[in-house]
Amino acid sequence: MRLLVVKFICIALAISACTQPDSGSEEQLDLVVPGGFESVPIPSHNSLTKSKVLLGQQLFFDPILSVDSTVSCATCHIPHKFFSDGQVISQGIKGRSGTRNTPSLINIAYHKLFFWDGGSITLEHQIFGPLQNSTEMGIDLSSAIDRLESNETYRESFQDIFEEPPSLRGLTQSIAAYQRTLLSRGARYDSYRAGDKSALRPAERRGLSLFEGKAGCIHCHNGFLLTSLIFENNGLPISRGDSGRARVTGLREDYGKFKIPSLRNISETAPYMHDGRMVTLSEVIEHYNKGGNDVRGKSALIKPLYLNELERADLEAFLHSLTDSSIYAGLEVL
Amino acid sequence: MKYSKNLMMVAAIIIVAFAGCDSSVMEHGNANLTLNLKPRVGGEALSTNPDSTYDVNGAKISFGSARMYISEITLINDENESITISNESLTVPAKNDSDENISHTIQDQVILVKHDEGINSYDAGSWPAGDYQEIRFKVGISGTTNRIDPSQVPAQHPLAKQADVNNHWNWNAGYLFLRMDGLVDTDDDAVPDEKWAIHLGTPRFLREVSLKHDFTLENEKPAMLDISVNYAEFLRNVDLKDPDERICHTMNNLPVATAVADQISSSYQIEDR
Ligand code: HEC
Ligand code: HEC
Repeated sequence: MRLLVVKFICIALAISACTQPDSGSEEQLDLVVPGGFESVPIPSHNSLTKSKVLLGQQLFFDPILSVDSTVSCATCHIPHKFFSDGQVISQGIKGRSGTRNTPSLINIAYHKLFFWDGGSITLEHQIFGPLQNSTEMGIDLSSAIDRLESNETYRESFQDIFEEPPSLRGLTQSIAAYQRTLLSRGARYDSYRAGDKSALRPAERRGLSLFEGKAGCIHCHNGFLLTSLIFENNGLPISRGDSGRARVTGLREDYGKFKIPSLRNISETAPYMHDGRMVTLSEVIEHYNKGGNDVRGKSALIKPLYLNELERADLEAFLHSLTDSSIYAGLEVL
Repeated sequence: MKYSKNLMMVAAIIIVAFAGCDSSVMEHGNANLTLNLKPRVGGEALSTNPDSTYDVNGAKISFGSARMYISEITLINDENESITISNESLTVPAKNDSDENISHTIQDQVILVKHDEGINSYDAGSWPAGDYQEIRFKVGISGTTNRIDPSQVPAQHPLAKQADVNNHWNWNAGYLFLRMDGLVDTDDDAVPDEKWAIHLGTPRFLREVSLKHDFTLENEKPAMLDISVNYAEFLRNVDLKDPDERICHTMNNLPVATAVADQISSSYQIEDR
């Protein structure tokens, strides 16, 4: 019961509507983020209104957007798995497999480029990827629009919100708006950062020191998302012919580079890496401890760490403290 | 009082604006220019009907899509001056070179040529009347305009993400400058059976076409330039029977992308009426 009340207050806080002068009476969402987070960047061309977010949420969960109406965004981005899916490689329509692991979408609003290789330029643009990909939702864009047009509820929502019939612009704006609300509500790590030293257990505090010191994770996993969001090669052998960032830029020096993932909720989003090759966090730490593999283009920051068994356990304990006690999603707290 | 002061300002601006008009333009006026881009495969007209097959470099092929972007049209007049015009402006979200989100304003008259829909005539805007000796344009989209977010462009604009035939990559920033695909006969029975696709884009493959041609634009008299676009010439150095050359999405097949891009300037010709 108490939990329910707390939950309710949080929702009320999260959506405490503030009216912006330029958008009439449309309720704008006022996003609440943990201390230490930057405020959520909302592009001026896609204001975050309550009705848009709700439409986006409905679309995110609706299999109508896949060719055989079996797969929605939420098939692979599952809310209780922090919007990842626990699979090595996800399956889309007709059980087809893609080539990469599904990343968590929590805090995606802060990213500048999308996909493991940064090939997509905005959260709005990103949506064409899964929609059209034959191993994900496999629908052509004109059919997607036709389906929304022949659905009365969607037709009305688009008219109300965008003052036009269902369009690619409205579709991408609303789904992107919903995804911008997928946010951390804070982990024990944040309480510790805010001054509550007891929020981390001794082993976790030792792990944090290693993370920032001897293990050097902080060089790449830094800032409030524990990622600098740039592209790096952390010493994994190329798999499935996936050359990472080089596919986008065509540059030799980008061979085998992938977007550095956020480590928030990392204990809950196994398996790991762009190809899901690692099942556990101790496997990941083992990889870094040996200095990765001897591969072309590996970052000079990836070298043997000589962490002993206790240090490895402490580092892993620390990674567990990055898990949010709950998250925001749309107008809800999960 | 404040109101009347504003009114005076506006009046003053209007007067200055008129006074600033180039008298020669006032005299000569403008003419609307249409580009009639006629798709050819060698000597034949291009059709995307699957029964229409063509011999290109010893390969029997058909066409599915045949599209391209034309932008930054420039006319060179008799005094050797480069003339450009600007269109109604469109402001959209884009990325700068450091991948930061910016807003970008486009005033260029961009044309998305849809030969696969049988559309050959395209409005190239309103130009000052006068005598000209050359037309230039880019095949593709340059600079920041190639880094805009197509999902946010109004549907009727040529740079909007097209719902029918993809004109922009989902896995990269940028437009498909030249898009042609179809089937190719690989078992020598004269019936095209395997897919071929050449989708060219990215800044390094942006090419300019310049065509010498003397023509006159007369005030308020619509004008048309006939330009043939030879798809066989684009494909001159590509062997579509070779599985390594059949599929090119630019980044996955730089040799073929280069071979096609290098043919662009010679694939367009003025056709005398
Ligand atoms: C079949 C599973 C699947 C479906 C369905 C799916 N995704 Fe994904 N999603 C993935 C995978 C795998 C990736 C990583 C792809 C890559 O990097 O190339 C991804 C990446 C993303 C990213 C980028 C994350 C990042 O860190 O850059 C976003 C945003 C996203 N998906 C949103 C969506 C939306 C919105 C939908 C529905 C329109 C959707 N996804 C449907 C599997 C899926
Ligand atoms: C040179 C930069 C760099 C350093 C230093 C670094 N990482 Fe990473 N990390 C990456 C990159 C890049 C990836 C994604 C690689 C891929 O998927 O191919 C990654 C992935 C991970 C993942 C998997 C995330 C996921 O969602 O799949 C974890 C966990 C991780 N790193 C933890 C650490 C720890 C712990 C350290 C310190 C011992 C560390 N990293 C040091 C760049 C770095």
